[in-house]
Amino acid sequence: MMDSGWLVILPHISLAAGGILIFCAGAFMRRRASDIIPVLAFASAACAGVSSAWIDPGGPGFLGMLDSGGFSRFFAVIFSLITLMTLVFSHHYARDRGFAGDEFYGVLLFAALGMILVAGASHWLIFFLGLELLSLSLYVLIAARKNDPASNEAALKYFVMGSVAGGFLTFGIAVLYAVTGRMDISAGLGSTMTADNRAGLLLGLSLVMVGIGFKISLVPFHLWTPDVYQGAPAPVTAFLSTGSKVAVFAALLRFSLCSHEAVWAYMAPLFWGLAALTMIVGNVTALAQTHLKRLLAYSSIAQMGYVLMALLAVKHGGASAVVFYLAVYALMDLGAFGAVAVLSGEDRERDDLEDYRGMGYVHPWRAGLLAVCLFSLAGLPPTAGFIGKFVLFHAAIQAGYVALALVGILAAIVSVYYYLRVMGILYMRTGECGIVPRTGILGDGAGMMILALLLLLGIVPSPLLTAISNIVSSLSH
Amino acid sequence: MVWIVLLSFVSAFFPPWLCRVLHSRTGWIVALLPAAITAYFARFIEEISSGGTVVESMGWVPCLGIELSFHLDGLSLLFALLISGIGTLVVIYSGSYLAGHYQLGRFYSTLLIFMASMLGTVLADNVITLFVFWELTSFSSYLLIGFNSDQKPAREAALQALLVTGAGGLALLAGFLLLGQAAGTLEISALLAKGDAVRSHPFYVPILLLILAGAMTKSAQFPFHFWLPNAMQAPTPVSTYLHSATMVKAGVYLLARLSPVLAGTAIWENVVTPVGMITMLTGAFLSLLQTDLKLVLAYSTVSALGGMTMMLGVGSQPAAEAAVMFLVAHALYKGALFLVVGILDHETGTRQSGRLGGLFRAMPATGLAGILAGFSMAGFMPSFNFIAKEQTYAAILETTPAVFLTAAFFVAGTCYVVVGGITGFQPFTGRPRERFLKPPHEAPPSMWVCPLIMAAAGVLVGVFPSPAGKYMLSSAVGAVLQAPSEVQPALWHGPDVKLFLSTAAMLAGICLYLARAKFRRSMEPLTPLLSKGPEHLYSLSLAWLDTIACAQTRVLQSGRLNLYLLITIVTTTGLVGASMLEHEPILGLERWSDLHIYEAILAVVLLTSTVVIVRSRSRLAAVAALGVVGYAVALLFLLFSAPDLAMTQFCIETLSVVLLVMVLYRLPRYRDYSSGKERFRDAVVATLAGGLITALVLVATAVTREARLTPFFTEHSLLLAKGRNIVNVILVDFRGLDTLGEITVLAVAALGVYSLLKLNTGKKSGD
Repeated sequence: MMDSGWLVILPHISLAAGGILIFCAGAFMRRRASDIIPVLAFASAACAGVSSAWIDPGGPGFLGMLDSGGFSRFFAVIFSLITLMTLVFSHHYARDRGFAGDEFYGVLLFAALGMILVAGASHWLIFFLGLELLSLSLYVLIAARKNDPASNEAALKYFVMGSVAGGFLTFGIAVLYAVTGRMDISAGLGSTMTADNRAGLLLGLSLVMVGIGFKISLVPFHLWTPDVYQGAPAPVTAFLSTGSKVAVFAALLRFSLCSHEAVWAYMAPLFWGLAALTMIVGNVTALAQTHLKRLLAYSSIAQMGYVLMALLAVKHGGASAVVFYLAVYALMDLGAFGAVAVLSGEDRERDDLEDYRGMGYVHPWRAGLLAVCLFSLAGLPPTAGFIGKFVLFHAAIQAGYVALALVGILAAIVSVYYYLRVMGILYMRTGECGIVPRTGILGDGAGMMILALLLLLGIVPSPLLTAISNIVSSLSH
Repeated sequence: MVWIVLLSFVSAFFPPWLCRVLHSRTGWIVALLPAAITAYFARFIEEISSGGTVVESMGWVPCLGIELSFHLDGLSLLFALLISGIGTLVVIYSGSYLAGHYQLGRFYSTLLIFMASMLGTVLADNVITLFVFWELTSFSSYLLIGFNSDQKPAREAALQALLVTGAGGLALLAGFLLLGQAAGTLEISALLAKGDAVRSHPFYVPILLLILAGAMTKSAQFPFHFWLPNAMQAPTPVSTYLHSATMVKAGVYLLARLSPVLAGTAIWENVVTPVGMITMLTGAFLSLLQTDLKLVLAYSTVSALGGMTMMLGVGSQPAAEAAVMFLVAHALYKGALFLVVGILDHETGTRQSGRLGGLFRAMPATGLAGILAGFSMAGFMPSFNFIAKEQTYAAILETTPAVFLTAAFFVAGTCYVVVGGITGFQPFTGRPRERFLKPPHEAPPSMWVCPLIMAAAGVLVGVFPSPAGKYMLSSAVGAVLQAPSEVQPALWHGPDVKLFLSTAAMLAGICLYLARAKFRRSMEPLTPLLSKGPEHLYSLSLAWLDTIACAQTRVLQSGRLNLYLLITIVTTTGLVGASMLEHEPILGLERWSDLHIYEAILAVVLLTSTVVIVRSRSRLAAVAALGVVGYAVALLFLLFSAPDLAMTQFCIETLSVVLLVMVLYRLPRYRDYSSGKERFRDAVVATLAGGLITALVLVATAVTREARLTPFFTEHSLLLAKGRNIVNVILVDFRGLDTLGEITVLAVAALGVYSLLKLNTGKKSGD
């Protein structure tokens, strides 16, 4: 195994250096900091993306603790893109609401670093460190609006719940280490089960699953999600719902691929139950929501249920379906919450669904972005969400999980109802939707890019699908 | 073919722009596209009727087996010609119908998108491609029903239609995926040869039910039929095109297309035929109770779709012939009638059957179209519908027992005569019923010419049926049955049972037409009961889902953090505890027998101070006790030879106590937030969770693993690090970098404390 050291951590260095520079700029440049900081943040996120996209280090780094294969690099690119989009969406938003300081931009970059570490970790310690870095940064980001009680409450809830879940996760890792004697993820999970270590292995994994289930908000660990999504500023919600979930799910996918067949056979029923519960509860509860951000929160819960369903098929070639859907999901949720951000009013966010009445006629493009994202989340053609749902259900059915797939389809049918209800409100003529928000050309540009990508991936998904199946096949052997 | 369909999608971008330049003449230009497509498909008639098929394919998502593959055979060709041909007429008609409407361009765009998707649906050879086009037709139907988006009923009807057909569509997708899994291919042309394999597959029943759910929601079969009459909120050209002539027939198309794969089993016959029959009767009966002409037509469309489904359920050769003939006849006469009603509405401002009459003098061309179409609908002698009806009787009489279906079709046939009379005959004959504000006059030619062409075609094909049979129907029936067939429609089969039945139905229909007012009055008490049945169920189930969702939100999503924590911890304990009980882990309690007295004392201190934390009524005492817990843990680390850890723990513990004490200043007064019962519950949960973690520690430590570190340090500290004090060597040498990290953490934490202190004093001086 060749150790290719520094090349592996180029994206990490770029993000960390960017974060530190931003803090320095905030501390030492009193006057011009506000102009430089966003540029710095943008540049370092872009650097991270470019370096992970184009520089192939050729092997894992740091004693094999950091994977640098196609899988990690693919996700690193996704996280860089998510960060870039979040930066763009929050540029005006944060400035108008007075939280565009160095702490916001710097911490955002650190959170991105945490995501890359989580998705690329092949060592439990790196995974844990990345997850903690990510979580701590998110606690701060959620409370970015310091004077807003809702924002503070959300951060506190996420913090307390996150610490408990993090505690379980840490303990699970400790148990795993104790019974396998390996901190290397694939070696530990791939070790054969004996009567001696079986109980410890499975119990440790269950605890790790509790921590992961909390982060990707599987039912019944999902309770924090709507409260936090609602309280956090919209661009942060976009970042939280996409980046953090995709990162942890990528790690979960890696664990599943690595795990020994016998271990997997024990875990599969657990996943089955969680997936079914998540799809049903997520979609049914979404029906009752009258606030857009809470509705999207429940929708994002349900979406993770679908992905978990396809994860069951991971030993039968379902991994590329999962990766594809994660990428598409990131786009959809970024777009939806981004649309909430660019449509938000002068001082407060448009949260109540009624505030969106007739928005389709006042702001056709921004409402169009929201509409396309909702359409895609509902899994209707010709959007990327359709292809995504298709590959998920295809994978599940091919692996023989027909009953679960039928549960999923039923849940998806329920979901069509609430997505379309929002669409109906957007294109209702009778309403007056208040103040015309001002957002820069940047936010709109990013929105249009997401819209175009969603449609493009819905019509021409082949290149991405092929690329992903290459990436995944490189990981699984 | 692929390019034609894709081109139609692209062309949907242009109408808004054309409208700005050409205004009301746009219709003629836009109509060129469907006309050209009709001509394009007409070229294939020769080839297809001689038994050939045309296949075109283009890669789309090859890695998933999804191809943009198109397959043109008799059935597809028949549909493609209907779609593009009627499309041409409807586009021309809408130009005048919606003249001057400010969103005419958008209307044409959506109409073209619909046409392209519909063509895609009937041409697609890959089931997934078919599904994509299928959903696109639902979506464009949504946009078109809700075209008058400022009207609430239109929006509601649009959403309802999309919900019903969209949900059915997803069921269809599941069915297709299972079908692909069962047959090993997603291409229809390959599927057709695998009928036996599919029918004997364990997935057959779910496949059939899911696909039927898709087809029946789309084709408005009972009990999903309610969306179609509500969809009459759409502008009349849309109702003509989508909700009568083409889109609603997609379900029938799908059943016909897949019948070689799915049909022929008991469950097919026991589901499809009865559903079709019930739909036919329900639609026919309800159509007689309506007074709005458009609703009359809508319910009779439901009925006709039921009739086609019923014939496909029967599945014999004559039944397939009857279904195809009826499909063509229905498209022609029903399209014409809808367009006529649209003209009446446009010129007089009403569609109420009681207010219209004697208009032939004012609008002779429209009147001619209406009467011809009504004549067809009633199934009178030389119309093509007459031939279709005869064929239906012929097919039904072969079934056993024939009496049910025959009686049902007889009743429906009687009702069709009345509907034909009400919509095509009554508005133009008799005396004018009412004086309108502006006297009604003939519509512009671009409007009346369209229904006239369709109505005339319905009669002409009846008079000269053999070319249609030879060039169109034979190959279509052949495609349905997957066997070469020869259809020879003829007006006259000699005096037999069929002729007797259809004549009797005609006479009964004429009698009922004359007594229609009385009939409607006598049925009035039944109306709310019958027409609202399934729709009421639909809204009930939506309300029921809403209630569940609300209750669930109220109970679980209270916003209270302690409840969230409780649920999380209980689930974890349950989940992990259950799997622990299942695997009966080795706890290895015997290894703990060598407990030292100082360890026991530490344990007692730990436990006592924990109890103090929980029970204390003063925050300060709790914080102090928390500090004691921390120090005790640090001492444990020290005892188990982890000096560096212990050192860090000591420092962190000190700092956190300082921090907590500082925060105490800012907290509100201490109060009890929970009742005794709640505290008891929490105590139980906490004990369980604690017990679980303890058990886990035992499990983890029970795995024997040779201690590698302690001997390593004792052996190597002098050799490698040149130090006799092992603790020192570990701290500064073996784990030097760790120590550096720990010091950094400490320094940062101390900085945090310092800045908090500064903040605190600043605040005080500010007060």
